[in-house]
Amino acid sequence: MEEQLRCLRCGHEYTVRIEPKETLRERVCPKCQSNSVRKVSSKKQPG
Amino acid sequence: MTLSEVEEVSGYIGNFKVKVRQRARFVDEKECTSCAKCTEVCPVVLPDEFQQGFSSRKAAYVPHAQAVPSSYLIDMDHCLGNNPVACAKCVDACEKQCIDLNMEDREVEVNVGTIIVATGMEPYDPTRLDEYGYTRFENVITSTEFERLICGSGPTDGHLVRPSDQQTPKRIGFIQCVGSRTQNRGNPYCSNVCCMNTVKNSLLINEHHPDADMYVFYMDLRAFGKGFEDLLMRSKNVGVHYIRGIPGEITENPVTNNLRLKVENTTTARVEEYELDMVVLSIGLVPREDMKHLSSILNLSHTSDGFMMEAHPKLRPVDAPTPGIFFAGCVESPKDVKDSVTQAGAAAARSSILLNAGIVKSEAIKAMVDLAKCTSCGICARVCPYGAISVDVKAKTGVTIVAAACAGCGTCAAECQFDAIIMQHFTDAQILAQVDAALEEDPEKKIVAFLCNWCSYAGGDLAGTSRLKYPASTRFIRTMCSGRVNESFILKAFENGAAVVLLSGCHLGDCHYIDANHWTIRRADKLWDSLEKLGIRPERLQLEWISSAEGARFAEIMRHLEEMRQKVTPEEIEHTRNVLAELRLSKEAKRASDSENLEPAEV
Repeated sequence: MEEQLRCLRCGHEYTVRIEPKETLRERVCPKCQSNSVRKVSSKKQPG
Repeated sequence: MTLSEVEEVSGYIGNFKVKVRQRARFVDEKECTSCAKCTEVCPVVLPDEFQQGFSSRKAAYVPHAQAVPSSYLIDMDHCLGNNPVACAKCVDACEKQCIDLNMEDREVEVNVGTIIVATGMEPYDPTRLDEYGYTRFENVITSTEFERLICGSGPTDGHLVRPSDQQTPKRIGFIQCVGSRTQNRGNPYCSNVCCMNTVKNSLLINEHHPDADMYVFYMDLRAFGKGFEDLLMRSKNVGVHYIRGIPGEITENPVTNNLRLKVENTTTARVEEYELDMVVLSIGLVPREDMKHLSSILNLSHTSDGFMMEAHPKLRPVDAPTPGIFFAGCVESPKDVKDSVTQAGAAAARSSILLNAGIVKSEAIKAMVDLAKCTSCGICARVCPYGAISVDVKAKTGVTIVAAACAGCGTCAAECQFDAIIMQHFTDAQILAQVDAALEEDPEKKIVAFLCNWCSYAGGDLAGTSRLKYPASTRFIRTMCSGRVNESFILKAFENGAAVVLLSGCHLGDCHYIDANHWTIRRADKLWDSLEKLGIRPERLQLEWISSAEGARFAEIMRHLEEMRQKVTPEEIEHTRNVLAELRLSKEAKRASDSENLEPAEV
């Protein structure tokens, strides 16, 4: 599954791959290292 | 209890109920005299797990020479069968008639006051590190396999031979940090025991084969314990070559089965080549595969490396965050025999103190329930990391909170939609009063930061004691856990005119209340959505995980928040205040009308 995330500090948008039953992981903006990262959308990967 | 597995644990400190499944041994351990006649006649031959597959065992066997009880058991997964009986030679051979192939597993329930978790670890499997050729080349073995080869009670009676031709190796290499201290291919942590294990092994080999050439390939040697440096010096003095560099690849001569290694020696800055008879991979230690299952039944959390998390790394290193549970050995982190024994002694002592006292003294910060408001919805029970809350959702009799098990994180109070959970200390009223006080003057110039007691607040303390500079516009409000920060506290801060609000707690996996901060992130997600719907920029609510050691990060975050605050306009703040005041009034009106509808009609 893919998750679209947006950093609420610098506005950077990025995508991460997550396993369906994965335990909650810390979200860190790869650009500014902020944890204020909001889930924008999530979608299943094709196939 | 041997051959047993813990299936379920319920209860709390002083009153744990543990359900144990005792696997069928198929041999009466009290009657068995270990005469070995069953194993002699058993036709099933399997690799001996204890001897790392270097020798074989039968389906009727003793796991190892020092096994307790010293009684045989039948490996029913590989036995030719008891239903219908296909072989049963062991039954015929047993003079004491203590083999019963129809024996069944037993479920036992025990009541205990405290629990010590000492489930150990597993060695790292280096198969995935293809460059070392483990399993491709017979003479590349792991350090655990080497232990069996050199052990007096091992498959070769302690005679060191290499697997390919059973000859004594003359040139032996050790590669350190296999699967340890790597970010991508293995584990990022140091496994603690491998350096000294190799030093010990090199001395053992030297004792038996003084003419053997030994090479240790390492990136750093960590000989930090009492007497360890002396041992390392002894090893160097007997002629073991220590080469600073990790080989990139091992290749095998197909005729001689000798191994060739190419390594960059970072001391001499040269690429060197070695031909060796045998290579030992010093593999790291990893958490057991069933660790997740164990943590779920014991309500425990683990650190990012997968080992169990202690209540406090310095002050309570043998205690689990759940009261009454203690750790001993590698279940908590990789450690050597001495450290494991020390921790086991400490765990036993900590446990005895509780058992002998007969009473438990706990923190006064606890959750209480107002049964008049409780609707038995069960959310509090679901979010409690300690399983301290029980509720019968169908019977709707209200929740029960076990004070001895409650650690006072306040997540239940924050999640309760009906304000039915009241905290003793850090009450809603106290926290809201702090919000009011913080924003009494010039609220638009203020940032309200809700910090957890254990990590974020301590991070702020460190920033202060380190004399790090950060803007003075932030007002800190301490809660025991970030999970305690109710949605209403944040909305109140915005309604009072705060420009920016920070919600901060321990890093995920480091929460002092097991996983209470998981609810913080879920709440923040929900709040960001709600703020957006209300026309308030979600960016004004910030979420940051700050550990007690991250003073510099704390100061940096405060500087970012101040930059953010300066961009919030007075009109934006005014709009927020109006929207939230309207929302609050409509909620209050709804609540009033709901309570009127619930009141019984006058007769």
